[in-house]
Amino acid sequence: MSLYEILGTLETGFIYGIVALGAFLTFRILDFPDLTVEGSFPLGAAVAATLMVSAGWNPWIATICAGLAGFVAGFMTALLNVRFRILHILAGILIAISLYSINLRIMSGPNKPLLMVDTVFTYLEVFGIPGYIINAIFLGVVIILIKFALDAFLATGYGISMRAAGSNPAMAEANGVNVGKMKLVGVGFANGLTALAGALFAQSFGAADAYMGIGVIIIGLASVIVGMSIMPSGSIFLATIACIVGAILYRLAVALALNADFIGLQASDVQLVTALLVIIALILQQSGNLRSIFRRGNKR
Amino acid sequence: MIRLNDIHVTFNKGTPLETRALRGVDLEVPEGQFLTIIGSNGAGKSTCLNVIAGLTKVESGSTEIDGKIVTDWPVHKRSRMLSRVFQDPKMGTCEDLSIIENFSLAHGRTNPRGLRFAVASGMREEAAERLKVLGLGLENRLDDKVGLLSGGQRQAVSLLMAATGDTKVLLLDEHTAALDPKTAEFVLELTKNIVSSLKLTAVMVTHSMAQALHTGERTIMFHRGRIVFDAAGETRDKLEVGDLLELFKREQGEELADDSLLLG
Amino acid sequence: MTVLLRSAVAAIVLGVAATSAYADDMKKVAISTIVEVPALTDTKQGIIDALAARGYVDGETITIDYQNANGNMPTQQQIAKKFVGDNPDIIMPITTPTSQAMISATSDIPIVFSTVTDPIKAQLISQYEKPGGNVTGVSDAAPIEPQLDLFKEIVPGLKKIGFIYNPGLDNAVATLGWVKEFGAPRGIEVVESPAPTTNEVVLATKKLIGEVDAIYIPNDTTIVAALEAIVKVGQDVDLPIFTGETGGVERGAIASVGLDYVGIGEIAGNMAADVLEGKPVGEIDAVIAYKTLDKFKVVINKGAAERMGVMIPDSVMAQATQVIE
Repeated sequence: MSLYEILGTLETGFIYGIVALGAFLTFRILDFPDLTVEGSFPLGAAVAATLMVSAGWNPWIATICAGLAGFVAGFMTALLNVRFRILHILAGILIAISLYSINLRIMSGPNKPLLMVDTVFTYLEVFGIPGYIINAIFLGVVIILIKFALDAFLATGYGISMRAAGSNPAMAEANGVNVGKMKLVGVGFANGLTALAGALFAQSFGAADAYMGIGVIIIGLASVIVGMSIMPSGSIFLATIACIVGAILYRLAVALALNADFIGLQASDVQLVTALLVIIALILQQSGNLRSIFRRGNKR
Repeated sequence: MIRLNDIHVTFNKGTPLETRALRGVDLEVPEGQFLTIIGSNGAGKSTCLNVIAGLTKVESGSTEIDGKIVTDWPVHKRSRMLSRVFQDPKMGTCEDLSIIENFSLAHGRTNPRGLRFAVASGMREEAAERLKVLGLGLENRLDDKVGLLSGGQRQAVSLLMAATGDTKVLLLDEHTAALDPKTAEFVLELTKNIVSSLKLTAVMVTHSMAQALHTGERTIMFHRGRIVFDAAGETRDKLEVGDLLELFKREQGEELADDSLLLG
Repeated sequence: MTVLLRSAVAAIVLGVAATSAYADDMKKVAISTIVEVPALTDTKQGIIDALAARGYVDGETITIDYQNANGNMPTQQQIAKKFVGDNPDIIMPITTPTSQAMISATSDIPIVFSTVTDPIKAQLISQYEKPGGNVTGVSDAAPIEPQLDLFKEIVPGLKKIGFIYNPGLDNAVATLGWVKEFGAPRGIEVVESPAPTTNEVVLATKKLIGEVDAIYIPNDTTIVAALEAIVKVGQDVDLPIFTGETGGVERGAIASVGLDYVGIGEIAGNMAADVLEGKPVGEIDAVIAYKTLDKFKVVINKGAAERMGVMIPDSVMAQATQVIE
């Protein structure tokens, strides 16, 4: 594998690591299986691309706005669940389906190219380092910053309330935590992260495409599961590292498949293998509570 | 401190399973009183506690705590004034958080939470001080996840947590029922100490007549959604379980036949 | 579980050390597509056939590395990075997103795209004639000119054609522009009837009754979803319905002209052979397939024609590559 391909793998791994952190926040911390991401990832791509191309906005601002759009999407999903008592999985699916049409309207079509506008990556050229190196470094820095921000947030009073809201909602309520509000903010924030990742991916890929959301949930979940199974993740600090590691390992597995034509493995097989991995993990944990999938050794 | 006015609660109204859980309950608990509540299953004692806590909606009537009408307040809003210990030891603490994080959470019940770090330096010392009282060595295990503790330990921690902050009212929902006799005794003693030293108003629901009569200052008994017995002070001190049974038979015209009530 | 995963990690590490897909002495051709559907595999087949005809055979004179992203965008990006790292002599992306990923990844390695509907809108090239840079290729833009010619043959005296479309879709608006542009020299006036949602399609159709000689349904997902309803209107009032792609003919439209995707692939394959022989890729004109091809798919639905009161002339039947009764 060439250095170019390895760095490219890291680039994609870092971007999807952001998605994994979002999945960690919803699935693991809030105990809220959130399928909105299939819609909010391409939403971020669509919003950023449209702002940059049609409105001529600065790519940094456009990317931040994409994140805000994602927050709104996640907020809507949680609202359906908290206020209207729609099952969380269903709420996520409904919003994701709606977003597909919304994204088409935003882009007035299924594809918006970003090859002839300045992207955030264009600004990095000022460093004089070849694109394939500096892009990977930049994304690495971005995800490390996000990881530390998330770790810090979850250690604040607000963050602990959110953790309790997902772990033991009745106890949290009895201690003054507005569990519904925690879900609104938490699911919103997680989708904000996902949309941000979508905006970065579109700029890295060269276009925003309405089909970019396909498979995002499996990639995010698999990254979290693989990462947390493979390294100690008892504390928040370690768990978020595990998510990022999992995302990178996932992309490495795809890269392996791309280079392994000689054993007949194709890139398309990786998706099946990932789904099987997730199923096995879910079965092996043998418990009704979704979150116990990620619990290690604390069962009583 | 607590006042219930003509509370009516009906479950599954309009269906074949309709149950009138509370039929016109009036109760006044003065500040600083330790009240125990007994009654057979389905008598309404847990429902009464849930009404005070805010978990159960009333059909009619009003609830007041500390002079404020809280009938429509959700659970998390009432928690600024009252705290609760559940029967299930797993419910009172959050098993994925550490002991110190749990304390911080409880502390935030009465002091609104913000974006400052939850475990400020002063908090560790304070929590350690309180945990020392238990004599379980937990003050040295502040960063352990609560899920690692035994049921009794978790219940003790829950009790301490319930007593943090500016809580005025402590609600205890059969909180020793799931523990072994020795641990139950330990937790009950701890409860009495905390209530008297912090001068809290306490309401304890229990299934054991003996426990009810020997704890606190006042005992009321529920039967079929109404309060049928209310004794306090000296009158109560003189009563034994057998006396209660006689009283019941006379007033209700039937035998009280709930074993768990008598044997507990 | 952990053992399984640790072994997986080990396997990955080994894979990282695995050698490149190419043998060293032969020229390398990298081909990729976002998904595999018949039109795209036909394109690939055309590429391979054309290369072989020019003496470039996989395994003998060239090595072909073909990767299918299977609908997965991040995988497509990794394929792009892999290709660039392997440094092939030419990269041949099939479809718009695949092309965008390749162009984003390299501005040096020659790229010849195929089956891209509008390469200028997709920002792959800025002009068709000698595009410059490292990119050229073949567009599969709808063969509107051959279509209009066919429709005129079926409906002699075709002066006004209705056009139902979703004004919110760029592709549909673009198609409208082209139909107007190509209709003008043929004496055909276009009457537009917008339908922003599928529910408004039937209404938009009925508005055209009495105003036009025939209706053209472009490849617009909003409109095509209600195709059967449009066909019914056409049958009720004897108004001929034509579609912009051949799939609609099976569903009840009278006729359409489609592209032969193997032929498209062959155009790209020949461009690739030129590049391999040394021609600078930026000097090869990009091409719109239907202007270069002489073979087309002509699909006629006889039954639909009868139901709409239209007689298909023998000259048209002779051109048909597929007839539906």
